[in-house]
Amino acid sequence: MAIERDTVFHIAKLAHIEIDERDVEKFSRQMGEILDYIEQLNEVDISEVSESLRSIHEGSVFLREDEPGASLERETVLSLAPEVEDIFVKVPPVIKEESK
Amino acid sequence: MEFEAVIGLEVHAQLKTKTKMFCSCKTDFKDEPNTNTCPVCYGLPGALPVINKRAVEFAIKAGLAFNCKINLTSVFSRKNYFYPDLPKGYQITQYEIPICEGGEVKVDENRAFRLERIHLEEDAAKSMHKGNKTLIDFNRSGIPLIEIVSKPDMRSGKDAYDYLVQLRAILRYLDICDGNMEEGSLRCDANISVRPKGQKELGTKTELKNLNSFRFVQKAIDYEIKRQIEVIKSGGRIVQETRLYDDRKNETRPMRSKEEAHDYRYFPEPDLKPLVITEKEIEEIRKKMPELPLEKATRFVKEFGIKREDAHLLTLEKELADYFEEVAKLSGNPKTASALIQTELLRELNAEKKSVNECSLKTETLAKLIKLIDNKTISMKIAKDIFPEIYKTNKDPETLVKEKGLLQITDETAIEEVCKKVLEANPKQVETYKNGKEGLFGFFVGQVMRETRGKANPQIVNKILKKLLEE
Ligand SMILES: [Zn+2]
Repeated sequence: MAIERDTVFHIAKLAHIEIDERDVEKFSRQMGEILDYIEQLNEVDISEVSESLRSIHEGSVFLREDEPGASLERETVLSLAPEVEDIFVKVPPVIKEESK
Repeated sequence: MEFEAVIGLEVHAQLKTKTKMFCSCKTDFKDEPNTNTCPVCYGLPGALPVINKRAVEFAIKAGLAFNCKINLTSVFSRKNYFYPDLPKGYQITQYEIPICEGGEVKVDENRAFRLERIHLEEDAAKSMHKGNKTLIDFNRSGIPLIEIVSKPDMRSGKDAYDYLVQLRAILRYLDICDGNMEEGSLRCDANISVRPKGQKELGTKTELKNLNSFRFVQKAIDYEIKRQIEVIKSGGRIVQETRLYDDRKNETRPMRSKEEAHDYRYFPEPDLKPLVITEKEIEEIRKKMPELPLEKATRFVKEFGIKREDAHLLTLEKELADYFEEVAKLSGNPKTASALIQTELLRELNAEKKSVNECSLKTETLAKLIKLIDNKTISMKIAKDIFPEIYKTNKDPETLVKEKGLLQITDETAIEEVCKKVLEANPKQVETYKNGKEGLFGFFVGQVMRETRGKANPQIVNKILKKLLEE
């Protein structure tokens, strides 16, 4: 089942992806197909399989002592960024300056 | 129509751990920018978060101090959004099941503001906005935070101020957060709406950000309440938005950030199993809980007989409370200790922007000064006069008093002589006084004090002057 146009645009916006008007129909169909594919899981009869109810969210998490370890070198970190200024990562302005 | 404001606060408190929430990168804010990061900080493929035990302990401490219910099982979730200060594209936080629920912040004996919850999460990176660009330091991303969310119980800027003062004091007593708003280790956002008094439904709220001192929080809230009421009275409608406070103009205005959709698509963090705490662990932490500011204030009132307001002020900072307690015990005069600390000592410290830890005046020295007043060696006035010097040098007060020749004159014959001299020198005033203008009494006392350079014991001066004037 195809998903709605608006949902396609909404998801694109959340993912910061620009999409072309012409592609919307195609994406809407493809995304619907992905969901249908996953839906198939619901058809499997698991009533007899108790282990299947186990989730990764059972048990408890391991806690770490608060002891400092190694971090990455700054050069390494900055080399991963698309743009750098001095010792900072540079990105387009986030807040527009008020005209004073 | 009368309006009522409804205010809720969200406080983010950076926890004083050595390492980040989910990795062992250091948290020292003095370190060079972009030197404390790792694959976990950036969410690089294959990197796995591991929870910091101390951060959990600190959150439990806060929960106990604020009387929250501590959830033995709590769950971390991903809050998804794109923003440059969030390299992973999501923040790991707690959503459906936070570590603490309910509770309250008591601001004094019979006033408290209820809490909704306290949850653990990680901080975002620090952005510096510079005109046409934004620069990012990722050292802060991943530092443990607790977010303390109040219920919308506050009604004014003053309520918010009182709430924050007590909240900060408690976090500092617990030694889990620096509580420094200027450095950003404590941050506060306020949700504000107004409604006609008596109405149940809430009005449309705005969110205030950029509040970097408690006084600004108070002023910004009061401004925003006034603004909203004016908008409604003039037939307008409140727009749900984020507003920034400008302290120079004392006004709030809409934050014009890039348009973004708010759809966080929370889901349980797949890389972390639930956080499970045992009753035993909670009890261990409970045993180590310190005496909290209000408890201390109550004890000071009982033990030292000082006024409630004084006890409150003296206990907001643990170091100051300890200092007072020592001076009170050493001098045996808590009231004078309280008075001198609140007026003289705090004035000197504030002038130098120092905390009581950095104070060179030792508690023993201040106690000695108080004893000199009590045994009538010097007057209170002289004590205040020499205070700045003692504060700076920590010099033995008795030695200083002797060196400066400031010993109080308690010898009645000597004082009587001066009094007589003063009265003889001012026959006109004496006559006016005797004719009923009793206000002149202060004049005579002043003259005697001047003659003795403030050293005459005021009680004796009063007594003798009265006697002489009645003759
Ligand atoms: Zn890291």
